[in-house]
Amino acid sequence: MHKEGRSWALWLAAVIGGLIVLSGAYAEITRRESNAQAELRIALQELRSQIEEGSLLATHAKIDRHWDSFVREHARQLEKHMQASVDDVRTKAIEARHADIGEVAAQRGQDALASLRRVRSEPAAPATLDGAASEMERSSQALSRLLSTLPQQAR
Amino acid sequence: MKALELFLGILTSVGGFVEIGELTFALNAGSKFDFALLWVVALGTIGIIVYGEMAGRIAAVRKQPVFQLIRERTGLTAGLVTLIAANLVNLLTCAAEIGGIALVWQLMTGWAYRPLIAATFVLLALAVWFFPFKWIERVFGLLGLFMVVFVAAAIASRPHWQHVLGGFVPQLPEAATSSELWLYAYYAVALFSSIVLPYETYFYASGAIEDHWTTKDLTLNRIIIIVGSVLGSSLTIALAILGSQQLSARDIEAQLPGTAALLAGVSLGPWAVVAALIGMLFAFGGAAIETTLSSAYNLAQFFGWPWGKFRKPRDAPRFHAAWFTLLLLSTLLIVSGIDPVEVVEYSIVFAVVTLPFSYFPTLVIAADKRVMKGFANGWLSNALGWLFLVLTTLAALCAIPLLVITHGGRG
Repeated sequence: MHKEGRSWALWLAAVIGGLIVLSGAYAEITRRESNAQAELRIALQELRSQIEEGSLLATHAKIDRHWDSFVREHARQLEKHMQASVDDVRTKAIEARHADIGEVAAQRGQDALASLRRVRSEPAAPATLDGAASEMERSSQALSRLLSTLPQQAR
Repeated sequence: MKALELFLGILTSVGGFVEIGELTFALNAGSKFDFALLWVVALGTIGIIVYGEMAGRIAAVRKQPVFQLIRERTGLTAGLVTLIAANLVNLLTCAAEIGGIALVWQLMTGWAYRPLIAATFVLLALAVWFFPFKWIERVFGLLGLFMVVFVAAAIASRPHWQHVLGGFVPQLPEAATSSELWLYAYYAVALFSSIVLPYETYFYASGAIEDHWTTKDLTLNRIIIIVGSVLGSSLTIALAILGSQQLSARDIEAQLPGTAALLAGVSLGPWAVVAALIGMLFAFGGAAIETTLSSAYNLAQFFGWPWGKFRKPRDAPRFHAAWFTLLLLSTLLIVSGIDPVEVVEYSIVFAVVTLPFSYFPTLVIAADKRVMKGFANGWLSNALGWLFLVLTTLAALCAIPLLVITHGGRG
């Protein structure tokens, strides 16, 4: 059983190692061919998802004033991710030769970032939170429309 | 006394069931596929029960921890590969947990992230240094029980219970495109891996030896692992329900621990946010300590060094140096600026690759009547053990290709 165990383990390690190499090769080949479109789609989806979360945060922040510090800090953490996503969208759009889409998306991202900053600075002001939630909803819808203009991924 | 031991053991294992990776994958599994992956949670829970019970039984009967078995049964070369892979996964997981703690702590206090990482390192090091093994288990496990707030939040979110129950039947998502099917497969493998993370088995078996278990503790072992895991998995199910109820319609992918707290607050109000944050803080803290100690156990057991929290540093210097080094390296990794949730996503996928190498020797020894005598596996343990070995081997083979095909699980 010891010998069987050893040969089984070595066989499995070799197969997994082979699959890792093949996966790496596949990733390299697809990166060179047409992955830029898919990467742009993913970057746009991530940005839209973060904007939606910002809107959810603003909507519920106004319901209860007892969690101001949580709202402020969560908005701060979300803002960091959103800023990175805006930069990512710009880069991926240029790589996918869709700089126009990238610019529109980045502008929407900047609008959402401004709203999120307002949430962070005034987490207990209902009017601010209402305005921020609506603004982020609009940005999210605009990104959804942009996403629908991109060709579907084929795999 | 035994009843109290049992009660605390169960509570501890419930509180320590979910860590940052499982939290993220469960929320996102619910957000992306509603209840269609709940059967994976059930499958993973049975898997961790089967192998955890075997590892605990071997530890009680033979006083042999998992990595000693790995070296004995798979040989030096494959054993060494498993050791390196397991400890790299532990390093990544521990780094993610430390980052997760700092993020949660920041949500509670508003203090800066990087100093909080340093403070987390100091507090965790002090806890491992000064707390006896049982205290570590109990303090972090029991305070991690605040995570039960997610179960209350899931119930309060009024899911369609018939649909929830339907999720426990293995299925494919409805009207899915090929890319959605790949993503579904990726999430199935990752969610399964996040539940049966190998460090949990290493830590559980080593803990049994630390606690000086004997054959008289076998019933205790069985009850704790079965009841604790089943109740613990209810937290994972609750997170998936919350993901489906509150994130799916908006198509949100959770990228921060605060998202989980927000969802608890949306369902139950601000007190639930506080409970969720405390629960996550201690659950992640417990996981960070377990991965740290697990790495030291693995190294010491593989190379035959003296080991154990019950041994003073002068009696087991390499063991104590090993956990401290791993904790320090994990802290340096996360302080460099990488995102904890991104790290844990990779660590969970790589963890599945090491699973069959840990499970195979455990199964072989637990089934061996010459070695285990009257405590060897019965037919049910053997049947489930082989079934899960096949499943984990398949998952190990698919994990990396799925990671690549789905762009790291992003779509």
